[in-house]
Amino acid sequence: MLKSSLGKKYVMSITGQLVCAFLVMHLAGNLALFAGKETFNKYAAMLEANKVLLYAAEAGLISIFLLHILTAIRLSLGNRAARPEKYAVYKASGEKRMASGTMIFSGLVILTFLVVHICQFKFTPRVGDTPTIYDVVQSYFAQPQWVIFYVSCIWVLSTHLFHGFQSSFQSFGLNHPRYTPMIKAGGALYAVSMCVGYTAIPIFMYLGKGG
Amino acid sequence: MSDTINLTLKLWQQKGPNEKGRFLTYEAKNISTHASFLEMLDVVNDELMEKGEEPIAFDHDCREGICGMCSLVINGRPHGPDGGITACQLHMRKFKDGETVWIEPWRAKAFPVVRDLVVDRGAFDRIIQAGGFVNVNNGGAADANALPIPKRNAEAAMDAAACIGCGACVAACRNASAMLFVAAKVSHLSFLPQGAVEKRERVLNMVKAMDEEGFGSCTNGGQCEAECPKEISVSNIARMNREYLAASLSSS
Ligand code: HEM
Ligand code: FES
Repeated sequence: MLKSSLGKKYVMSITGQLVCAFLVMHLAGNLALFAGKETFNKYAAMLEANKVLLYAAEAGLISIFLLHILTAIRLSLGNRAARPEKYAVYKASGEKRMASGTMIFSGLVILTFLVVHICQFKFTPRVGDTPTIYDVVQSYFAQPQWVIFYVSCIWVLSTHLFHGFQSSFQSFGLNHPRYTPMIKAGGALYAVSMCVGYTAIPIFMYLGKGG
Repeated sequence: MSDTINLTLKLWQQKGPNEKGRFLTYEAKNISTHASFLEMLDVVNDELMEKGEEPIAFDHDCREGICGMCSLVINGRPHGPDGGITACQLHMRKFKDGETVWIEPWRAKAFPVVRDLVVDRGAFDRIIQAGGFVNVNNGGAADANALPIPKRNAEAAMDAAACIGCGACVAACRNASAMLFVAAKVSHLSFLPQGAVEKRERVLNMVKAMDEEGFGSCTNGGQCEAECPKEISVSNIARMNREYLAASLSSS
């Protein structure tokens, strides 16, 4: 089944939804930044306390991401190959042309962002001027270029979510005259919430309101 | 409003499947706005032949929107700028005097160009051969109302059966995916008691055949539904997706 085009879409759909759920948890946790240095450091220490759980969660996340990314690349290459000669003029209308047509590009931006993000917040040594994770975060978000980088990447991520969230239901065969409009509205709400939530962190920390 | 218009046509010319194609620019003069799009092409071809040039090959048959043969991407949209119709049902009054009109074939790896604007849609036939049918025992015809079919199912089957297999979904799809076509056939047959019996094998075999033809996969962008001359809904694609999932996870 997983070799078929539909099977690959099931993989995209499940892994995409799992990452969507992770995004909610990650945001909820990070909002602790607004509660001040002590609270956030306590939260971070709690996450890092149980090494077994931490490694298990990391391994799980990495495998989900890898599955999502590798399947995405295979699908996108196949889609490209399916139309070797392009149209001179192409205006076919669809629903959300921008977001749905740029999934691989928004995806690759997210991937780049993830690498940078993990290097910064996971692997920056916590010594000297930045003895705790809170200080690390604060030092990056004191620099306007990083604030702009984070805000732009999160905006791109939101376009991915805008199409992806509702699309994954259709991929799994869930389509209903009454519920599909709700799922689409829910997807838009989800994308906007993630956008607002995640961009609020760098912006407010930059403005010095992070506690 | 004047009854004739002048247009600049950009017509795709390609000698054969493996030849390189190019656009022929043609000034079409005094085109009647009452003409259909294909009649306009007939006029152009007559003029080309009078000048001793090769006419442009294009597909057509019924010219009334039921056979699905006409297959032109007009100004970037399969079957042209109007919704819910085929190219043969398109009228020249939809165009403005002096407009440039780009006319291209369906473009997909699975639909090789035969010549100019004609493509080979044999891939669809092979998908149908893989499962788009119902096996019936021969003998006397069954009584028409012997099999009760709920009105709702009959309606839904009929909506899907409106598909004329023209391939506009593939032409419109950013990924040249044939999902809407296959989904329409799968839905059409599985809604009816005669077709439901072979539901499982049908969806597995048709999807397999679809993948083998080299169509792209669905990204749920919705271009197919927007450009389908019969306005077939993408909810059929969701139905196929869940039938395929159920069929893959169950044993025969
Ligand atoms: C925070 C990270 C991410 C989330 C929450 C996410 C979520 C999703 C969701 C829910 C879908 C819809 C699946 C469907 O249509 O059934 C999707 C599709 C897609 N994702 Fe992601 N994704 C993420 C990262 C990435 C990355 C890093 C790539 C890298 C290449 C990527 C590439 C794609 C592509 C190409 C599709 C469309 C696949 C298709 O419809 O054929 N995504 N994503
Ligand atoms: S020629 Fe038959 S549908 Fe257009």
